[in-house]
Amino acid sequence: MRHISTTEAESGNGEARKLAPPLKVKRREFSQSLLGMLAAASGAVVKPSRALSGFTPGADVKLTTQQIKLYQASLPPLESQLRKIRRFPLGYSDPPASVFISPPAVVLKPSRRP
Amino acid sequence: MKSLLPSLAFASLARLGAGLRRREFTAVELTEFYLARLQRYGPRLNAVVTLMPELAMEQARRADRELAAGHDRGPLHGIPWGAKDLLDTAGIRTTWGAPPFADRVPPSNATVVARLEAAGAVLVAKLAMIELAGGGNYNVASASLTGPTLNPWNPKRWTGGSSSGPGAAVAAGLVVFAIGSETWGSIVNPSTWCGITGLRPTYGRVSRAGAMALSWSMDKLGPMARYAADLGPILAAIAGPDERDATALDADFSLPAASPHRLEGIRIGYFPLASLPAASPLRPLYPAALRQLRRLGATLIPVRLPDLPYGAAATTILSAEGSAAFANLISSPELQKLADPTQIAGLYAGTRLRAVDYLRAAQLRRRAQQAMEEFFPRHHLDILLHAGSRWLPPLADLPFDQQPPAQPAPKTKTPSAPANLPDFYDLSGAGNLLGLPAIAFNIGFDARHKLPMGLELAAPPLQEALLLRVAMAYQRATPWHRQHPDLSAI
Repeated sequence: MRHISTTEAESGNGEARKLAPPLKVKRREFSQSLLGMLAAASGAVVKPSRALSGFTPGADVKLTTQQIKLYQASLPPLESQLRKIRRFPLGYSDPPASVFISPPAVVLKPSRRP
Repeated sequence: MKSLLPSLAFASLARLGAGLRRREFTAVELTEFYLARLQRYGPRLNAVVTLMPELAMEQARRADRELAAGHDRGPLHGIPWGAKDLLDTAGIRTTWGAPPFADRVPPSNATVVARLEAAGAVLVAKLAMIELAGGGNYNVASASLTGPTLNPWNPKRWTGGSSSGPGAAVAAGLVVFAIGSETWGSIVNPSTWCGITGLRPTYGRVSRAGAMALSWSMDKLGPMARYAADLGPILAAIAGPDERDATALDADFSLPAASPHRLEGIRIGYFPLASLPAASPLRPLYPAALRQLRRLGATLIPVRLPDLPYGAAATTILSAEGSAAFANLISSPELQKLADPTQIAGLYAGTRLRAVDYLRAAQLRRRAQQAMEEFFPRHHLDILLHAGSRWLPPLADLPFDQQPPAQPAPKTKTPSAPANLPDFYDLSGAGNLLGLPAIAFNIGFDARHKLPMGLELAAPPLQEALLLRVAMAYQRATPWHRQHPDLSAI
């Protein structure tokens, strides 16, 4: 089983690049979308520092070809969930739940009876 | 070794406790009885990671000595139980169901393990689970150190997960009860598919100290047993504050001395039959369960949840927290030892989430809390009800994405929901995102496959006693929870 490092695959080198034609992807999209990672894995030419945003510097995780395909396949569903979150109309006054200060359920009170 | 009646394997906590106190059998005899069943059926179901005869017999002998001396620790005294293998046990391997952690031996007990020991319970086995509680997602029932856990009702089928061993072991009468965990569905799902009764407590109700962390803001520990009446004493033993877990609530749990048989005054919001897909095997059973609750005196009101993306927010939070929790593993060659490549890819994908998206999901969680805080009183609801699972358990030897399609449903005038659950019917996503307590129990069997089907009831925070009351009343009036699988075919 051939192993490709993820840094290699995501920066467009290695087997993933050989298999897929380069994609033209605007740099801005990479900073906004996990699909940017998919595009990078497919061989798009981008600056690694942009494409690998969030990646542990120096980490060299070994994924097999099958796992890279699974990883790529896992991104669109995740992206679909993220789109729902990003599109939901939240306002400036919407604070995040403070899950590490109080448990998320505690703000809910037992239902009041009529 | 004294030969105990096989029917005792499926007896309730109350029946076993009475037998112990009447000297009908001893804790040692009861423990030997369950150990023998675990040895016989555990490997056939892939339900056990580690059998613990030495520790169990030591605890059982102590239980007998204490009872003989008049020191009764309560309803769990001398009762054999099993722990999902993500609860630390001092000096005994705790694998998290995952090959990379197959030899992990923690130095101390999880708080839950220590509290059950203090209550006199006898730990007989560490039970199977989906590796890392399925945090990176999985596509096969065999995504586990111990292979696919097989459903005692039909060993060609899976148990559900990730508390797969607890589901199988309780259903097969290999333990009296088990402690499972749920981040998103992991108690409710196997409880439903194994035909047992499972309680997912309010987030923070039970300390998670010494339990594997998958999602710090979503993980819950809870009991799984055959009878709703058994769950209360177990929860009472494990609930409460813990200096080892800052999220553990300062709220002890106690059951009322008597639970009424009737449900007058209790208002249950339910999703209509149209919330189930046309081919769902639950459809024929759902209306009868609603009628039964009405006969018991409950008021049922059709509702739909505030339309918010509960599932999307939960997915984002779980993915981010799971990949952070396992960051060391993800950047280690040990990652390759995981049984399911989908899990590897999913954990890796979680590392790509942006902090902005995680925080946006947390904003949505707050918005959902506010919406639910208004929702229950606006409809004067005590409880919400929906399917425990809308589908049969998958065939254990096929990947989940290669299962045969559900049988087409007969034509019906009642509208049906699409296979993808709309947000306003996503009780599981909402309940886990918001840390609401829930109970799952059997309401009958699929006519074609003879497999159990069940409901999930959820309530506002800290309302576990109300959930138990409804489930106990339902079980007093119905026979389903008293049925158990025929293990002769296993």
